Amino acid sequence: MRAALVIAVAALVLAGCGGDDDESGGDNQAAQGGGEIVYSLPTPPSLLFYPPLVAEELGFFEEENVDVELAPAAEEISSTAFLDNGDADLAFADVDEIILARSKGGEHQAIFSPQHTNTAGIVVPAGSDITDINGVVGKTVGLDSEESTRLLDAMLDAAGVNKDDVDTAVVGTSGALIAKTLEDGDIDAYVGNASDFTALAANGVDLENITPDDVGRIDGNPLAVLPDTLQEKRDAIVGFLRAWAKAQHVGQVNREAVEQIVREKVPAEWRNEASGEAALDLAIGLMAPDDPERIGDLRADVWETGQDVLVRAGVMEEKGDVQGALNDELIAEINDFDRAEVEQAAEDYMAGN
Amino acid sequence: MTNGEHAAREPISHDGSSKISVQDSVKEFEGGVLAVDHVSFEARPGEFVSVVGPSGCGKSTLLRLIAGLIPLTAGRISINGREVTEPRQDVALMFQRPTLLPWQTAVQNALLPRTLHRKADAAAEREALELLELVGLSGFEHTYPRHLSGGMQQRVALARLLMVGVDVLLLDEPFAAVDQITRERLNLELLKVHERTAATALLVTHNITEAVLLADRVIVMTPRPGRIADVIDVPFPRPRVQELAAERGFQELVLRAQRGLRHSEEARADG
Amino acid sequence: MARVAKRLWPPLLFLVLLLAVWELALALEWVTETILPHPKDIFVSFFDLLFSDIVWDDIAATLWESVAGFVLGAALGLALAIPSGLSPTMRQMLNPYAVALQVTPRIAIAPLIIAWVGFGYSSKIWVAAIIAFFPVYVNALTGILTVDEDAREMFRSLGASRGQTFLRLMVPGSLPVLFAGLKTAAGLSLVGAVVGEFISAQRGLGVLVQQFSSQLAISDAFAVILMLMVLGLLLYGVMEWLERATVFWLHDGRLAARTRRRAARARKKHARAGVTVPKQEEVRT
Repeated sequence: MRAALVIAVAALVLAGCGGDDDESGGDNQAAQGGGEIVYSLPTPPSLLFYPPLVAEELGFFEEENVDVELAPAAEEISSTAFLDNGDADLAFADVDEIILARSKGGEHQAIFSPQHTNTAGIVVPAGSDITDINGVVGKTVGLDSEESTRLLDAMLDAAGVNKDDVDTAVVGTSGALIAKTLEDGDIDAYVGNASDFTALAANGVDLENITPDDVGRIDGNPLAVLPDTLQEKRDAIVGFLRAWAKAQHVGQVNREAVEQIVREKVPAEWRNEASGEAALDLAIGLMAPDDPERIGDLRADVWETGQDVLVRAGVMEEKGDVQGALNDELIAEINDFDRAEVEQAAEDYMAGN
Repeated sequence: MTNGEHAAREPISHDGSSKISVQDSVKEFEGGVLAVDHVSFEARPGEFVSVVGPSGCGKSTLLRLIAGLIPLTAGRISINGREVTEPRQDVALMFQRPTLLPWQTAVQNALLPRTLHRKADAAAEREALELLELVGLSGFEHTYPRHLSGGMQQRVALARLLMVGVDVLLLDEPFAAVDQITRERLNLELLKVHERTAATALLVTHNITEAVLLADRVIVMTPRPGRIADVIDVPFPRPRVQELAAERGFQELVLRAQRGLRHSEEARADG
Repeated sequence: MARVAKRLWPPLLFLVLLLAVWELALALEWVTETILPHPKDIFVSFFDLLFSDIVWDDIAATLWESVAGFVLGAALGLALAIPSGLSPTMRQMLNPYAVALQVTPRIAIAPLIIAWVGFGYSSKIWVAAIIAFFPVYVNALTGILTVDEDAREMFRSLGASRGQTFLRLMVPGSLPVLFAGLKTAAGLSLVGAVVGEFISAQRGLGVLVQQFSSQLAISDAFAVILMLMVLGLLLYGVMEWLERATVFWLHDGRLAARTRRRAARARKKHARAGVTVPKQEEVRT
C-alpha cells in the first residue's frame, strides 16, 4: 500500500515537471522544410482570433508545413516576457508593450499586425450626456483593469483634460457587473475591450464609443518576435503567418464558413447566440486590413501615434525609434498566395458540411 | 530505624547480590531544585520494594533516575551490577498513564517490546496472549484501547511490561489514575505477576495500603528534598490477599508509615 | 438506507431555505438578474451543459490539474515537513520560505512558473500544488512536533531506535492532524487549478467561466461554478473516506469491525491448530 503510494506520487511529480499535454489542435506530422511554431495569444482559443482555428480546419497550416502550438496567457502577463524566456517563438502583444520592451533595451520587433483597429477603447451608455472624451470631467470612469489607467490618462492628456479631475474605479470584465454599474450610474463611462462592448450591446446595453480617433486606429494585437528567432525559424514563421493571412482573408469574404468552423471549435462562445454573432462580426471587422493586398501590414504613422500616447501617459519619458520596432520584410511573402484558391477552399468546406 | 532528618542507611552488601543498588544519590534540577537528597538503598533479587511519600517528594524522580531516563547529579546507581547511565534493556517500566498505541490492539500493544527488537514471532504472540489472560483480559485481545477502560488499559500495560521479559520492574504510580475498586483488583494482578515471575520490583505510590500490601519492604520518603525517613519491613507471608489489609498487624505498619510521613513533614516545617 | 436519508435531510432543508431567500432577494430587487440569475435558470443551464458536448473536456482538465496539483503539493509539504519536524535548524531554515510562498500572489509568480514548466497542464498543476502545499506542510509539521511525550519516553525506555520511533510512533500519531491538512488542501487545489487557468489555459472550468461571463451567459457561468462546487465536494468526500480508512482508530465503527475481523481470523488460525481460544468480547460502541 505504502509502496504503491510512493510510486504514484513519483509518477505525478514527473508528470507535473515535464510533460506538456498535446495542445495543438492539428496533427503532429513531422514538418519537412517547415517547422514548429509556438505562439502566444492573450486568450484561450477564441473566435476573436479566428484565423488559427480556420487555418487548421481548412488545412492551411498543413499546406505550409508548420506545426503550431498555442500558448495562451492572461492579459495581465507580459507576453514579451515569453519571447525573452524562449517559451514562445511569436507573441501577440500590445503596441505599448513592444515599444516599452524596446525602450528597456530589448530587440523585439513587430513583423505582422492582423488588427488594424484598436481593441481597447472607451464607451458611454447610449443617451448619455457625454459625447466625447472631454465630457468625462468630474465623472467616474470604470476600468477593466489597473493597466488601462495608462490608456485613459493618454486619452485625457491628448484632449487637454486633467486626469485628477476624473475618478476611476476598476470594475473588471464581467459583463453583468459592467452593465449593472453603468445602469445604476456608479460609473459614467467604461474603458475596456471591444469584445466586452459588443457583448454588452448584444445583450441590450446600448453603448456609444467615444474613443478618440488617434487611439482608435492603433493596432490591436501586433505580433512580436526576437530577431534571433526570426533568423532561425524564418521559413516556419513565414509559413505560419501565410496560413494565418489566408484564414484572415477567408473571414473577410466568407463569413458563413468562419461561423461554422468556430461554432464547432469553440461551442462555449455560442451559448448566448446574440453575443456570439456580435463577437464574430467584431472579430472580422477588427481584422479588415487597410490594404487587402497587404494583410498584417505595419503602419508606421499609426505606431508613431501609439508612441505619442505612451509618452503622454507618462509611461515613456521620451520618444524612441519606432522605425526600428517595425519590420515589414515578410509582409510581401506572407501575402503571396492565391486568393481565389483560398476562397475556393472555403466554399468546398461549406459544400462538404 | 529512626525518623528525623538523618537519612536512614541500609547496610550496603558488597557481595554483589543486589539487583538494584542506589548509593548516596543526589538529583538537583536546573534552578537549584533539590529533588533527591543523598538517598541510598538496595533491593535484593525477588524483592518487592515500595516507596511511599506525599506528592512532590521526589519519589518519581528517584524512579526515573533508576530507570536511566534522567541523569544523576551525584552518587551511583547500578542494576544487575552495572552502572545506570541510560535506559536499560534489562529493566521494564510502567507509568501512571498506560500510553498504549491507539492504532494497535491489546495484543499488538503487549507485543511492542518484542516488535521493536524484531522478535515478535508466533511464540511471542502466544506468550502475549497468555499474559493478557494472566492479567484478566481474556476475550479482549483484539480490542483497541479506545474501547478499553482505564483499568483495562493499565492491565495491557502490565502485560507489555512483562513481555519485556526481564526481572527488574520499575513502576511509577501505575494505578493512581483508576478508581479504588479497580485499583484493588489491579493490586492483586500485580501480586500474581510478581509471584509468578519472581522479579525484583520497585513500586512508587502515594497509597500506603497499596505499598504495604504489595511489598516486602516499604521506604518512606520525606517531602522535598527527598530523603529516606523510614524503612519498614513487611513480614507477611505470600501469597497475600486483600483481606490482609484489615488485620491488626497490617494496620500497625500503615500507622507507622503515616507517622514517618507526618514527622518528616513537621520536621521540615520547623527546620 | 434510512441512515443515509437521516444524514441528508439537514443539508437539503438548508438548501430549500437558501433557495427561498434567493428568490426573495430577486423578487424584492435586492439584487438583479443580470448579476444573480434565478436558481431555476442555473439548474437548467447546469443540466443543459452536462448533456451537451461542451463541458466534459473542461471538467476532465480541471479535475486532472487539481488532483495532480494536490498530490504534488502534498508530497512537497510532507517532504519538507519531515526534516523540519526532526531538526530545529531545518525548521528555522524552511519555515520563513514556506510562509512567504503561501502569501505571494500567484499571478505575480505565474510568469516564473510558466518560464520554468512551460505552457500546458504543468503550469496549472504547479499553481494548484503551491496552494495545496502550505496546509499539508503546517499540519504535518504540527503532527510531528506534538507527539505524545509519554509515548516517546516509553519508546525510549524500550530501546527503540530513532527510525523506529519515527515510523511507529510519530508517523501514525501525526496522521489525524495531517489528514485535516490534506482535506483543506484538496479543496484548495481545486481553487489553485482554476486560478492557474485564469492565468494561462486552453481549456478548463476556469476558462469556461470566463468565456461565459464575457458573453453575458450568466446562468451558464453560474452553472460552471456549481460544477466546481460539486467537484470540490467530491474531492473532499474522497479525502474523508481516505481518512476514515487510514485513521481508523478515531472511528468507533471501524474499530469494532477490525476487532471482529481479527478475532475471526485468530479463531480460524487456532481452529486449524486445534487450539481453543476465548470468545472475543463484543465491543459496545
